[in-house]
Amino acid sequence: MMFDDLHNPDHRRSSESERRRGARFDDQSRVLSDREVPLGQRDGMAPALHGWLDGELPEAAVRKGDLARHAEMWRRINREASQLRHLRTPNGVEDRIMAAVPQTVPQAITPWYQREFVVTPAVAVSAGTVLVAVGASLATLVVTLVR
Amino acid sequence: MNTTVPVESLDQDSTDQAIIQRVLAGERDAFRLLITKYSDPLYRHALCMTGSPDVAEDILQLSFIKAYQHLAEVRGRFDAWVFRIVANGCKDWLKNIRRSHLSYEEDDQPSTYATPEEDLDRTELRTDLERALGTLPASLREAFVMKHVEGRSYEEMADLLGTTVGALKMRVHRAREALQALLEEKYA
Repeated sequence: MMFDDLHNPDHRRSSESERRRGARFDDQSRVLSDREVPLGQRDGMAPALHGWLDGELPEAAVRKGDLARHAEMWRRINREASQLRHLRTPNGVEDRIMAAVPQTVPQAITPWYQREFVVTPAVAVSAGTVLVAVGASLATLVVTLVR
Repeated sequence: MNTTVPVESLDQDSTDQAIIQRVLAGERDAFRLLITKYSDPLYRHALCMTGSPDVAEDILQLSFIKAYQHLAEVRGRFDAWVFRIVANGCKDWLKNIRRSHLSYEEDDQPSTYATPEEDLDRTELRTDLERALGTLPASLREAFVMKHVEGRSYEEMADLLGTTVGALKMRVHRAREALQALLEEKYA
């Protein structure tokens, strides 16, 4: 009699990897919105790989098995990425920016509550008069209402 | 986090401040010095974030115009301040393009990356990498680009983005995991 070996690690691995592959293609076909977390990372990445890429671990830490395969991929990615580091601004962009910059001298725009307020004698007298007038009006109004 | 400011950074900052003072005193052409000094790294950042040289140029131009208009309000390092303007410009562009349901890959993913020579240099891996980067959320893409393309340290990134080293490490790790999941079948 034959039984399916449900505990066969190879069997389990292959069906799981197929499921992952399917999920990965689903993920690839759409662009994530800004707040979403990409889901194509179920199997994650070995911490040693992150450590090596962050410069915290030596290369020897990623020389074995699967790690070596992934490390090689990241080496290639880093090579490509570092080539982009030499890109320069195309000619003429600087001139275009300077032509578009306003001709006026930039001025600080300070909100009214942060602006300096100078109190001259005339301003003080005017403010005092206004306050007294407002106070008198309010007092008159209150007295009238009470009666 | 290391809080000591390197001497070169202080020198650079005082030079930038001197240029800013000249511009504010009416010497408009002095602003070109700041453009020349910072346009390359800012352009690279915009290009890697948007994937389009035309869009990157537009973002760079708008950012420098904005920087000029608000130059009197610069407190602290000019390079960090202008970097944040560009970074926000890139994130706004990504947000808008996604909101308008335009396909990033079809519409703005360039067939050329600036120059014809660059086209010849372009490898399959780079094309796939750019496409995979295009699927990442803006914050993860930003962290990955700053770390792997621009080669910045986590401390420098935290300084520029005004966040913590831990949060940025997390973003870079998540970006790597997503990219590895997308690329490993073909390249690992």
